[in-house]
Amino acid sequence: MTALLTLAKREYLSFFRTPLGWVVAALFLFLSGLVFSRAVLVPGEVASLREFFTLWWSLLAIIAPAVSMRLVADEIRTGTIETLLTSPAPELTIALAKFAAAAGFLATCLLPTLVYPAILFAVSRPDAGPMLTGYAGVLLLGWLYLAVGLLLSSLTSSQTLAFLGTLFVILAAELGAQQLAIRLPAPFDAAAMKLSVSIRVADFARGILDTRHVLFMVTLSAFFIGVSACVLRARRWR
Amino acid sequence: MIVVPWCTLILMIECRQLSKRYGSVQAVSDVSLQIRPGVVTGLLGPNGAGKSSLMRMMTSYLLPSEGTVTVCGHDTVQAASESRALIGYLPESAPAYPEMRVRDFVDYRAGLYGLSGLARRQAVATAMDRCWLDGMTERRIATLSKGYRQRVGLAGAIVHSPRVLILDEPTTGLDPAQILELRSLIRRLAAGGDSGSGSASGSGPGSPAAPRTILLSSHILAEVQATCDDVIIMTSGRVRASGTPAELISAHGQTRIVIELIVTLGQMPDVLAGELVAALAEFGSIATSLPKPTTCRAELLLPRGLSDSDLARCELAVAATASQLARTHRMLIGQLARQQATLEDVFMTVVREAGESPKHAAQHSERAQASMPTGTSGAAA
Repeated sequence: MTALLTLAKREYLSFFRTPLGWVVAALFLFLSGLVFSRAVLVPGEVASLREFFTLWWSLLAIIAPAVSMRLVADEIRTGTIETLLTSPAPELTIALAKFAAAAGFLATCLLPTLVYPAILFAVSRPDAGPMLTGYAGVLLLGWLYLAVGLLLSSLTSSQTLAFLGTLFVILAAELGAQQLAIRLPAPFDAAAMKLSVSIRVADFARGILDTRHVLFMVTLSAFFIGVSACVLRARRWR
Repeated sequence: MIVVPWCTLILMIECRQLSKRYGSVQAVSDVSLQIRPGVVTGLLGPNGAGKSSLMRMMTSYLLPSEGTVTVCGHDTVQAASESRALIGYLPESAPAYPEMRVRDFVDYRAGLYGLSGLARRQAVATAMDRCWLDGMTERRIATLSKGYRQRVGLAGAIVHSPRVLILDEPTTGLDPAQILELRSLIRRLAAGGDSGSGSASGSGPGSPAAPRTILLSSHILAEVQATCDDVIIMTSGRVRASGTPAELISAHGQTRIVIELIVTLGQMPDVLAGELVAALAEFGSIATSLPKPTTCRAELLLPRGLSDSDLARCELAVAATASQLARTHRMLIGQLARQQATLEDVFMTVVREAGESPKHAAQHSERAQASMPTGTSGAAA
C-alpha cells in the first residue's frame, strides 16, 4: 500500500510540476466553458446541464489522451521505468497507481467546473439530481478513457504516439458503434448501441443512474488497467 | 560461541546456465556464477559484452531466456518481489525525474521499497548524507550536473539499505575526487557500515550489521582493481575469466621485461633490433620498436605461470644477454626493467583470446586511462 500511495502521489504531483498538466487543465476548462456558454447559458432555455454533459464525451476524447499519454511512455523514454520495474512493487500496483493519479488529476480538473451548476443555481432553480448523475457519468467516462490511454501509453515510448493511438481508439470505438447502430438490422443495432459510451453518458445526464452503465464502464476500465499491467510484465520478457 | 549471520552462509547472487536472447541476438550465453556476501565484484567487458543484460536479469528487470538467478536464495522469477526488495539498483546513466527535487526523489524511492514514517525520513537523510547531497536537497534534478544526478541515483539505490547493491557504470560523470569518495563509500557499504536506519528488507538479510554484496560494472580497469575483491570478465555474453585480481593476473597475466638500448651515430637501429630479437627470443615473445632515431626498444613477454624465482632468474639472464649485446655494439642500456602484469593486461589478453576485436579492447583501455583519477594505482601502459 505504501508503494501504491508513493507512486500515485508522485504521478499526481508531476501533473502540477510540469507545464503539460497546467496546459491540459487550462484547455479542459476553456473548452468546457465554451460548451457551457454556448449550450447551457442561453436565455430562455431550461436551467439544466443535460446538453453540457452529453457533449462532454467529445471533450474527454481529447483531454483524456492528453492526460494519459505520458503515464508510462515518459518512463520508458527517460529510462526511469528501469528503477520502477526493479522495485518490489508489482506491475498491477504500478498500473493502478498511474491510473489513480490520472483519475485524480481529471477529478481535480472537474472541480472548477462546479462553478457552472453554481451559476445555474444562482439564476434559477435547477434539478440537482441530473447534475450529480451527470458528473458521475463524466467521471466514469473520463476514467474509462484514461484506462485506454494508460494501455496505449505502456505500449510505446512516444507520448505523441500514445496520444494519437488513444484518440484513434476512442473515436473508432464511439463512431464505429454509432455507425453500426444505424446500419445493422435489428436486433444487432441494439447490441451496437450498447457499445456507444455517448449514449450511456446521455442517460447519466438525464438523471438515470443505471447500474449496467456503471458496471460497463468500471469493468472496461479494470480490464484496460489489467492489460496495462500485463504489458508492463511483458517488458521483462523482451 | 561465534554467531554467524545466516545470510552470510548462503550465496547472495547465484546464476545458473543463464542466457538471454533478444530475437536472434544472443546477449548472454550460459553464464553460471556465484557472488559471496560482503564481496565487491567488478564486471568488466567491452561494449556489447552482455554486462548490462546480466545485471538486468539479476534485478529481474529482464527475465532470463534460459537458466535461473537467485538473490539471497530468492528466485528472481518465482519470488520476484522478495528478491527485488533485497536489491538496490543504479541503472546506467542514473535515470530520474527531472521535475522532482532531490529530497522528494530519494523519499519517493524509499516509499517504493515500503519505508514509511520516521524510518523513511531517517533513511532519506542518511542516504543523502552518504552521497554528499546535503546542500542540494531542494534543487530540482533538472538543474543538476551529471555527477550530481549520479549521486542522486546512488542515494535512491541505497536508501532502503539493500543487502545487494548492483551499480551499472556508477562512476560515469563523476570527477576524480568524487570517484575516490565513491570508491571509499563502496568499501564501507560492503563492510556493513552505513547501513542506515531504514531497512526494507526487514529481518534476516536486511539486518543492519550484515555485510553487503556489491556488483558493479565499470570501464575503468584501475578502479576495478582498486575497489573490487573479485573480478568477472565477460565478452560476447560469456564469462571468460573470474577470480580475485591477483588470481586473474597470476592465471592470465604475463610479466614483461622492457629493454631500451641507446644507439650511437653510425649504427643501424633496425639491424640492432633484429639482433635483439634473435638474442632474446628464447626467453619469450618479443616485440621491438624505434621510439626515437637513437633508441631501440624491446618488450619481452615472459611465459605465464613462472614462479617468482623463475622470473628473477629469467630477468638476470635477459640482463646478461642485453649487456653482452650492448658491449659488442658499444651501446648504452637506457632501461632494463621488469613490469608486472596488470588487470588491464589480463583484460586485453582475455578479450584477445576470446576472439574479440582487439580494437574494442583497445578503446576500452584508452577510456580507462583517460578516466583514471589522479593518485590511483594505475595500470601501466
